[in-house]
Amino acid sequence: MRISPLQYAIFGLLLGAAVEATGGDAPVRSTIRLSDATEQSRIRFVHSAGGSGQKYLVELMVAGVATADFDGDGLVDIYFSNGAPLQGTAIPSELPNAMYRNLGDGTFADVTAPAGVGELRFTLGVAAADYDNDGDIDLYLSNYGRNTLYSNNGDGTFRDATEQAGVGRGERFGAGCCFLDIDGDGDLDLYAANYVAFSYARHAEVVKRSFPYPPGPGDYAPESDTLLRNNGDGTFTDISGVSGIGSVAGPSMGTVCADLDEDGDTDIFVCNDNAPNFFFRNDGRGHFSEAASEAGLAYDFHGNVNGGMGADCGDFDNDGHLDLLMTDYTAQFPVLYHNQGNGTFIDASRATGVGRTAFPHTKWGVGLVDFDNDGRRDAFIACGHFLENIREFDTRTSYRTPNILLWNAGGKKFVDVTGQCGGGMAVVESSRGAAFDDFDNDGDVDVSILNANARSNLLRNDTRTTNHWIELRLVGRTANRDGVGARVRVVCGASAQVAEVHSGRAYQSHFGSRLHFGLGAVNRIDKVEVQWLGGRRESFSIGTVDRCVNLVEGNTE
Amino acid sequence: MSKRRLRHRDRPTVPASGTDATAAPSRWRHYKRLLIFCCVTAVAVAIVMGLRPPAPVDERMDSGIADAEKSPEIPKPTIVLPATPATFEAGELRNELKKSGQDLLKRYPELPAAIHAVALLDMDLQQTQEAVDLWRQCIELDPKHAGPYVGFARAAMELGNDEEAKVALRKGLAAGCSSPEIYYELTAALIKLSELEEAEAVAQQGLAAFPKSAPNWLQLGQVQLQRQRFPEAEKSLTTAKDCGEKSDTVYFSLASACAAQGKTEDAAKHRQEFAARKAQQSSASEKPFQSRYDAELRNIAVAATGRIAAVYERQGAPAEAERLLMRSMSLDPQNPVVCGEFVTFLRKSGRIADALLAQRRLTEIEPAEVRHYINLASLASETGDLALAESASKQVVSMRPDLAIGYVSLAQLYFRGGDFKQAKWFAESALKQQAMDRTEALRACGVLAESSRAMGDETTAAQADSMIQQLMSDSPKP
Repeated sequence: MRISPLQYAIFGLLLGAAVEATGGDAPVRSTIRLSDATEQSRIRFVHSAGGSGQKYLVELMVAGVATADFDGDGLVDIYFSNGAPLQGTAIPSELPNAMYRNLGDGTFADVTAPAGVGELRFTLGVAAADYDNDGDIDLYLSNYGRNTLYSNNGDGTFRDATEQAGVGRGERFGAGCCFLDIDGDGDLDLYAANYVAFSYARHAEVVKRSFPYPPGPGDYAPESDTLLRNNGDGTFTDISGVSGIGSVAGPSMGTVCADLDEDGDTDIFVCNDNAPNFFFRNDGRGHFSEAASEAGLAYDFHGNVNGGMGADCGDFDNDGHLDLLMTDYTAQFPVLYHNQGNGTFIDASRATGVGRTAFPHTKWGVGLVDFDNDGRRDAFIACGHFLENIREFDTRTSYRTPNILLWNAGGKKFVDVTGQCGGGMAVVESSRGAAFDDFDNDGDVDVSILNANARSNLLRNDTRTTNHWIELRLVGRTANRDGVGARVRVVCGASAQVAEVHSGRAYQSHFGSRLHFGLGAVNRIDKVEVQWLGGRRESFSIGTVDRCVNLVEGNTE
Repeated sequence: MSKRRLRHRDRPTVPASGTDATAAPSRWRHYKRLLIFCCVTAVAVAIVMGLRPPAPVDERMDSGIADAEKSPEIPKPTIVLPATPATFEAGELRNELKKSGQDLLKRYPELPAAIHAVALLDMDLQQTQEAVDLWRQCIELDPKHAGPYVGFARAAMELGNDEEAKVALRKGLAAGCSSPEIYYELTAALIKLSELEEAEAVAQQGLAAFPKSAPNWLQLGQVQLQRQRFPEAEKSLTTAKDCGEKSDTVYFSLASACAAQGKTEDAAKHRQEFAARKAQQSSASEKPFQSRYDAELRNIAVAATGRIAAVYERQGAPAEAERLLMRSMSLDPQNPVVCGEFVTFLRKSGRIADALLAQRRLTEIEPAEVRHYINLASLASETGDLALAESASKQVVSMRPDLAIGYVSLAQLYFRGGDFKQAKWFAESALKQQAMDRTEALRACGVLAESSRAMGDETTAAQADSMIQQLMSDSPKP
């Protein structure tokens, strides 16, 4: 659905007025401009949640999107998850996932069929990385039903390697998934979150305060997640039990893997839906202990559980520590877990005002991304309720809701600038997964959004700024080829920014394999330090800015 | 000072508290009035007493009073209490609740208490905007009460209108409304608006006015936590705990404050407490599917109906109040709050037999609550059901042998039944207890004096009289 220019103007005025009225912050004029480039892009993907009309839990929890350079041409492509006909569905045809190849001229081509990635299972989550270290990016799909691993043949085609690799992990209700190197051995292992033990037989509409509702996660038994260790020969071994991952069960959704406790290995953060989140702390050898409560990551500011949907990882205040921004359900603040640098986190959502305007809405996709290259990570939150008739009994929100863009004001506060950011933010759909990458290689981050039961959107970043930037692609040699888990520190004079390469993040999506740093007025980088997984620490001399650079492990010249 | 013996045949229905021989008849009437006052106030005092599971009964308590004084005919209750929860269809119950609210507003369209009750109902039913509108009207009609400001602010914040909540609460404070809740909500609004410095200042103001308010201390600690002032946060949160804050949030916040200061052991201790409390909550909410939501709606209906009934009662419409309370009881016959409200209503209405019936239900619902037996004894005594009064009083002694009130009640009952030996023993036992207020002491001394006299024990009687004089001289005149 598109809103008219008049509606948009009113919407913008209202939001502008809201910013004025809040009184907490001085009015901000944002320079960020996101244009709706969907039509020009020729991306025609329309998502379907299976269309049963029964509001099965599966069709409410859709779905992620992945952006990565699948064909290795230096341009970021897009992979969309799709549903599948559910029991009783009226949809006659199959609903394949879709891959769109970036043609480099602002348009994309549907290459699903030739690439062989048209998964017909109900896909919920997706992650991308070079699991076999053969130099191309593979795809892992988290499904309702068996999961799927597409191995990239390097020639624009993929093959289904699920059975060979042993990563199907049974017929379960999947959610977020991530590639990560749990033991620093140079190959990527797999984390696959599982939601709940849904079954058609147990589905029954419930009435809450007399309003009809589909059953929620609390109505089904939670599932433990799956950890698969890469054997280095194209196969994986399920180590959920011995690794400690299987010791707890929760209604898992989005996941992100990062070295959150800064001890040199990759940990796992899992958003749980109306249950305490999980933080699996890695001992460096691939054994995990669940320590969310200890780390302050299980609950929000008040010690309450949230309907956690997805979380992105980034250093919002440039203090050198990776923070987490988690999206959640209606009438909940998004939770900004501020890393204290001592292994603990404190919810700073109130202190920073992040997502106050998002409070009434159901929030899914999320990105901590520097849209205006000012050196501070802004926040994008994709919104939309899962019930089309939600307004009948909750007028605070709606099925289709504007997405939200929060400008980072000096690393201390976030200011809602949605209404000022152009036509891209005026698209109103029921958005879910969102991915953030520089599709046109112009040095700013664009957005790809998967909308539930609607056409997806591509938002082109048209921000006019003189700010500088750098984009870094890591290539591992002894570390995994994509540098997943490597921590990068960009040093410019007295200031520095950190980021880490993630595979699988936010709301069951994947993006940002190529790290993007806004640099503000800085036009020269002193050095880039890379802490590779496995222990090697290297310093690269980059010098000039405003370009994409490959950082190859062991090649610092 | 000479003494005059009060002869047994002169004994009043309620045991006399003093027998000063020199006292003029007017003095005696004075004591009598005092004792009547004491008996009345004792009921109120008893309500707030604590509890303990039943303990062995003293052998002295095995004997009964019913044989000593045959009870007059005991009035029969005129009501039948529901035994099993009424079934309902969620939509119908919701409509019924909405109609109850509409009827109340139709009858009292300008009454702030009525509007407030319906606004609370709307809030419970997630009709948040309707609640906001009603509270806005309520504030216009009666700008001097804090409740509607607080309700308005909560609803506005639920809608995400934090600024509107802030403005309203400031207006309430400017209008002279002051309550811990109004400061609490204003601080909450400021926190949501990220105005943390101002939030801390308001929290401090609230605590200056209400220094024992645990939720406000908790909130101050949370603001300080957000401002990364961890030692202050820990101190405030500890004060909240000391003031009686029992929510899991206080332990969660304390764990955060301690962890941020590197106090890992303290943090772990608080986390453990937090986890234990969370575990209790989750086990209570593990019923899946419809049963959970029906239970929620049932709870809303019970509470809202009780609130609306209270408005009718205060407005002199007891029939409507009773109908609603009965409906509330039918939805949850085992709900102690509703049952307690019903007892209070019936007692105020002078329907002691009905109140006794409801009070008996209350003892069944919460058999470990000693205050229910105290009230039961009182009501039974009022209806003339002395056997029940006796057994209830014995239950009180059995459950809380350290409380004087059980002994006092038994002493009075035995005295009334002419069993002076038992009366004297229980009166003496009462006077040995630490947990005794002045009213109970006077009653115990009165029984002790009179029963001793009846038994010819002038020495003890004189001592009791002396104690009464002492108690009287130590206190303001009734």
